[in-house]
Amino acid sequence: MTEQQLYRRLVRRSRHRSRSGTVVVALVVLAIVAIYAGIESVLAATGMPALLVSPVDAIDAIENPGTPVLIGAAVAAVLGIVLLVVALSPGTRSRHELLDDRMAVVIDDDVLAGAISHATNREARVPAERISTVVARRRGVVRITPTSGVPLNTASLTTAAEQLVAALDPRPALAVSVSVNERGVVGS
Amino acid sequence: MTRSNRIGNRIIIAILGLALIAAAAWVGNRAMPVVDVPAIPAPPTNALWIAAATALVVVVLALLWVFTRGRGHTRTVVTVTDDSGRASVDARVAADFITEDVSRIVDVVSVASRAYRTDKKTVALELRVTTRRSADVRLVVDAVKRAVIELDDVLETRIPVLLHVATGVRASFAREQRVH
Repeated sequence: MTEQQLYRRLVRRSRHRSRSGTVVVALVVLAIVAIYAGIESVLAATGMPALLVSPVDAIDAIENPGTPVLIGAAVAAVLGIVLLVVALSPGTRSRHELLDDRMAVVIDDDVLAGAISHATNREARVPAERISTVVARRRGVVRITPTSGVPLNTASLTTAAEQLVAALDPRPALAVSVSVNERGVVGS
Repeated sequence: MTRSNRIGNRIIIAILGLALIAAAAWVGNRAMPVVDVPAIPAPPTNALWIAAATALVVVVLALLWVFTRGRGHTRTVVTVTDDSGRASVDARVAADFITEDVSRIVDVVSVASRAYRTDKKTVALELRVTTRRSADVRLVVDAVKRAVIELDDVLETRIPVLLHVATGVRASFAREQRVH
């Protein structure tokens, strides 16, 4: 495996969840259920009294379900759908890749958003709490609330934000837009 | 960022999900019959033993899978062999080398590192640099890169590096550095 191939793999694995947590919880629960079912089976096979429910009673409860069993089935159905969604969804984490010739680099979208806010604010010069950026997979939106009486030039703000994104060149590529709140606030 | 089999994880979760849905459907079908399926007979003794044995196998396989998650951690980043013997470099040493350079940058909260065996002979170093949100990402990445290149010179080899620039709970509580 070449270094570039390895880096591609490292980045891919870093940008997606491994689902190991879900698997561990699900399998531990499965193991506990299986241990219990095994014990009840052995007790029934050797003719000893059941701990809680004998296999015969359990089968009877499933074949002629009462309200508690039906509620249990509903819970199981919901849980099953959740697990299926977890298994089939892409499981992408909010991270972007930065290209580099020596290392594989991934950055959290929060960091990227912070950097865009910072760069845009060099142009806007409003207090930090009045500028915020939200970064999604392919889109970044900067929101600024100006100071009353100090108009902001959206075009130059957009240029500032775009310059930063171009300098970092995150993958997947990011399109940024700047939206300036129509109502400013007084003071700094 | 371990070597865990991720497709395997997906398949197991999908199978368990389908099993739960199938069990729910079976019970639902009994409450409101849609499909005519024969009832489960009362189990004879040998069926009970088979059930117990199956349960045992399921438990063993489940725990085996659980305990093989997260494998691939290692402490040694490189092992150098020459005429005078073998020398191995601990991941901590490599990390400290980089940490010293990087943690001087404003807005870097912490640097953590872990080494992973990515295949039989390759060990990759994962560096997690936690920054405040206002950090200059380019500055951080370039500083780490310079430190990594210095490390290459010292070790006389190239270690694959994954740099993860992150914000964390600690970073969001840390006060933002402002210059007025």
